[in-house]
Amino acid sequence: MNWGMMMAESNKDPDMDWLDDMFATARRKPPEMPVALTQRMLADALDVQGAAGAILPVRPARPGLLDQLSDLLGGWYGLGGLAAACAAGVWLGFAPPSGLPDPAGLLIDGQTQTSVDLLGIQSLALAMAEDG
Amino acid sequence: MIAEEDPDADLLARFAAGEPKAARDLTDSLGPRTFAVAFRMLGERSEAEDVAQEAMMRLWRIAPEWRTGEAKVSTWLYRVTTNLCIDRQRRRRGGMAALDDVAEPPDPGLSAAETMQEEQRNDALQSALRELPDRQRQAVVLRHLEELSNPEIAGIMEISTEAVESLIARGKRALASVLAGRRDELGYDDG
Repeated sequence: MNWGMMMAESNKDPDMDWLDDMFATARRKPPEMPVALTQRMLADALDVQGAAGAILPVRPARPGLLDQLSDLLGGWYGLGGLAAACAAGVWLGFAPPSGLPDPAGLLIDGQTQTSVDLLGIQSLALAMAEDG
Repeated sequence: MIAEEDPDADLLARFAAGEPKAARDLTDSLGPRTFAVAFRMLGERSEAEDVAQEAMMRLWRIAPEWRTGEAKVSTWLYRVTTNLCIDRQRRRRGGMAALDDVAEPPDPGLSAAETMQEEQRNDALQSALRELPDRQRQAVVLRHLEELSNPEIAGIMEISTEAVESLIARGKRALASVLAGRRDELGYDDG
């Protein structure tokens, strides 16, 4: 009971005691809120929130650059294959199989050879010229 | 004047910001009071449900524009609810209003006879309230059933405190007059 009510109680008309008792009886048993009404009120509230755009739709987080690249290259399998191919390329560059020129050697030795005679045609032409 | 703290206003701001839990908390806090006052004013359950839902809908819609500190949310809601009730009663006046007697669960602390008498008194009071002019009923319900202070009621009804006191006094006299013939029946000595 609030202060105003207490003041009212202290100033009440004795002829109205029975009426005040009826009010007290009614206050002891307030109308019970129907569960379905609570649900309708809540549904309205969420509709209004949704219509106002206050609730942002739940979207998955935007993938990062690495994730996007990974997806582009076929996921972890693709990345693994690419890494293996790169490693093989680097290895071939430093330790080429016999019969292939050594590009690392060309760079390190400072040679300026720009073409490779893979079939030995230049050597054959030179030998034929010498034979006359 | 120092603005009175209003936790409902904070909840309303959170509701406007999109917090679903604020909707639940406001419904739990204000919904039952809104329904109770609508029922006291109208005396009919399904109509009270409609009014309470409409009043709360207006609250949801006004939330983004709510200016904290100007009025308490509950004061605003009581005003909207009681005005909706008065509008509805003015529209239906002259027609027969169906009484929706939904059985309430008995209070285990009371004997069957006491429970029956309490229900009888509640029904009698509810019927008598419907005999009052709209503004008297509004003031009496807010004062004696919702236990609001006279200045608060004055804010809701947008009248002076003296006018509220006058409405309450006249309303109580009218209620006493309507119920006078039933005092014995309701268990009050007619002394």
